[in-house]
Amino acid sequence: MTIARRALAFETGLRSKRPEEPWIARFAPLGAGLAILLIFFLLGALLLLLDRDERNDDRQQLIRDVLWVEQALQFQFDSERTRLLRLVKDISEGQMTPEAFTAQAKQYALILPDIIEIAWLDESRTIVASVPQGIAGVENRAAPDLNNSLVLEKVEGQGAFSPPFVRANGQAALAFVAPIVTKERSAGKVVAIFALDLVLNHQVPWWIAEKRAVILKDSAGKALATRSTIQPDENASSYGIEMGAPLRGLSLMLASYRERRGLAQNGLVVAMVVLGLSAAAGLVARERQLRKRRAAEAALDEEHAFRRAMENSLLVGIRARDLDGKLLYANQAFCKMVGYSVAELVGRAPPMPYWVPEQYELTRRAHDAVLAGQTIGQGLELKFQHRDGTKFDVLIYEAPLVDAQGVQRGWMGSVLDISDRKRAEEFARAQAERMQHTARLVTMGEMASLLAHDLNQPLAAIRSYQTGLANRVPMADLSREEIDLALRGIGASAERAGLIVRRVHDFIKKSEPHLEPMQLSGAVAEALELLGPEIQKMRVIADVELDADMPLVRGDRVLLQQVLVNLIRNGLEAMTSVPDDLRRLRVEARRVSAKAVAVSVTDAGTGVPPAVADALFQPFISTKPAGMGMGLSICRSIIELHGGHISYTPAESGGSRFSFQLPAAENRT
Amino acid sequence: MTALSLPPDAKVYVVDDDAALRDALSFLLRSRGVESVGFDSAEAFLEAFHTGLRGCVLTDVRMGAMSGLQLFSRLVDAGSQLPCIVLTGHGDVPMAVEALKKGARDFIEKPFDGNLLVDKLIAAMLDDAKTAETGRSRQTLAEKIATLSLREQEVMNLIQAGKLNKVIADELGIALRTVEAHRAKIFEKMGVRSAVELANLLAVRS
Repeated sequence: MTIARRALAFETGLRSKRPEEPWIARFAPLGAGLAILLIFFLLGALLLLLDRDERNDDRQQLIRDVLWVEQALQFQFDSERTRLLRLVKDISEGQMTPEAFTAQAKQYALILPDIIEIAWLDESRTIVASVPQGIAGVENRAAPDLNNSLVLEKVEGQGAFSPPFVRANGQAALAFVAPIVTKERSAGKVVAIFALDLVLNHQVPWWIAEKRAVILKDSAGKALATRSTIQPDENASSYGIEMGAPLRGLSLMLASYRERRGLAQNGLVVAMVVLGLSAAAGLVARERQLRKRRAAEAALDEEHAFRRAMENSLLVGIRARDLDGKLLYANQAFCKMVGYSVAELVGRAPPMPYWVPEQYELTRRAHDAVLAGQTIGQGLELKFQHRDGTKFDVLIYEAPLVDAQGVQRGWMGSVLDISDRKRAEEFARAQAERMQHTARLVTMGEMASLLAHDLNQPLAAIRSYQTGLANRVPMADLSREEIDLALRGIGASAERAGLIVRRVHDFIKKSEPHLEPMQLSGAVAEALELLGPEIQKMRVIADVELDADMPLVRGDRVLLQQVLVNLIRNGLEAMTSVPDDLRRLRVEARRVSAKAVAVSVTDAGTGVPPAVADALFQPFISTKPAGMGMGLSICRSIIELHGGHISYTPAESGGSRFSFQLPAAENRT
Repeated sequence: MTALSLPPDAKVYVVDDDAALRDALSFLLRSRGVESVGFDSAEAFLEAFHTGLRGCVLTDVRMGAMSGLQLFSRLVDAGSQLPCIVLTGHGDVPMAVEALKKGARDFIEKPFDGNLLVDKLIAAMLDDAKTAETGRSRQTLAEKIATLSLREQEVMNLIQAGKLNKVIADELGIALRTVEAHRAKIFEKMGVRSAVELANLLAVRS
């Protein structure tokens, strides 16, 4: 197949050129890849943008939250301050006993859970009353806080919050100190201590605490209190502001918990990547498949072109017809044969334009026979007519046309133009007839020459007697005996010469076959006699066996003689290259039955090559260097004229045996 | 006629398988006084042949088993010096040419002029007689030479070379007188009277 393809590629003319692919198709896969990349990029950008928006939103929300918390704290502290100041006022106006204070403070502590201590200090900073109540130890413990100069000293006027401080238990706290002024003089102080973590716990609502860590820091940045379930990430966004009075010096910071991207969002990204990858993979797969398909198409194209080229280069015409006889296909050879183009022929239904009008019926019948499936496997000889009117003989072989499904779709026929062959055959036949005639003349001429040669012998003898007599006559010493001897010799030789001449005459006289009852052995003997000189010359030992009891045959003596002479001469000629002592020729004539006789001529020559043996009796087949190949052909004609048959068999000795059989003459009594 | 000069034992040996022609030839030859013997095949003649036969062979070229040409070759092999004339038929020229090449004396094509044939046969027989004669004289010469002594043969060879007695004496380192004595003896033994006669006699030898 490779070679064929290569050969095909060589025949550029035969190959259908593959249409050039549009440039866009070639770049299509690249474009699709680029598009996918672009979509990826855009989606990524969108995601980033969304993310940034979200972050921005988040940050704004954070700021809002911070402001909100700050407000809430401010408000809380303001309101607490108000409450405490009212308490101080009550004390200042002397309407408050320590017991009442305690009760009041208790109530406060209930309402304001972030207050962990409220104390009434007198001038000397001794606790008059305090909540939590009755815990002497607490006083002592609290004393440092309360005594804290930072807490107390700086408080002027109506009362103020102290800077934050850390209590002994590590709790960050803030104190509110308000002086008690009675009648223009200082009568002590009221101190309330807020725990900052409690403040945060109570003042930061859950919906902020849930999202953010809320941290209060002092001016040094140290975290004093935190409302947070978990530690916020360091990278998480955070926002802090300085608190205004009364919490001056503190800063509030809110930090978002590390943001957990939405599962949906992540899923989206993953889905996008997967989708993109699968799109890319699909693209690659499709491209690959396309390529495969293109290769297959190219192979198919090539195959098709190859088949077409094969069909077109055939010398045998091929045509396909459907079951109705409509022409489906015709190859170039067929078109050339009939002179019509494929387009003119395909689709035509009978009668076809190439049918010979005079033989229309015959062709029609043949056509119908084909369609009926009666001609499968046997050649059909028809005459077709070329477009230009020349008629030619064709030999058609039809075979069923079966499609891939095994259904017969019509008939496929190969059409051979055999007019040349027929012409050659006719020519050969005519030639053979002419040659037969010529050969007969040639044989007769040869025979005459041979017999003339034979005449020399008696003539020489006669001449010798005549000269001898002429020599003796002048001497007059001839005895009567000698004269007799000479005369007898002359007579005998003259007679012999006459016989020879008559034989020639007989041989030439008859040229028309003249069948009459005759003895075949006689013809054999005569033929042998005719060829006697040649047999002698060749020093061939002739072995002759003639059956005495042979039925008569009806035949032309001269013609049969000619056959025998031919066969015997062939035998002699076959032995020219054989050593003298091996040259044997056996001639046999015998009775086969009451109804047939057979003659065989066997030589000891070199035989006939097997390749030639089958065609021996055809005209122009010869094993002789200068042979015309007519002899045996004529022999066969003659024997068949007599109703017999002639055959060749190799002889056991290696030579050839030619035999013929003739029917016996019917006994008409 | 010429027949008279033929040796009495000379004959024409006619070899031909055609009896009629053989008889006719015999009659013709007899009419010219020539003896003939007929043989019906080459083989028959070969059987009868011996080197002492004198005359000539007349053979047909085409005969049964052995042709005239083969017969001639066999005769030469057997030491025959008989001249051989071949009778050929019309168109047998190539065969005749071959016969001549092999040493046959002549060929005659049938049909022939009888007397011309007989003339050719007689000429052949005369030649044969002459050959036989030469053979005989050569024989006698050899016998005569055999009677010479070795010295005499030496001297004779020098005489034949045309040398004078004096030169011969010098060459052989013998006295002139001795040479002369040898010379006389040689002439006597060879039966000649002069150096010229001796030279003629010896010419046969070569």
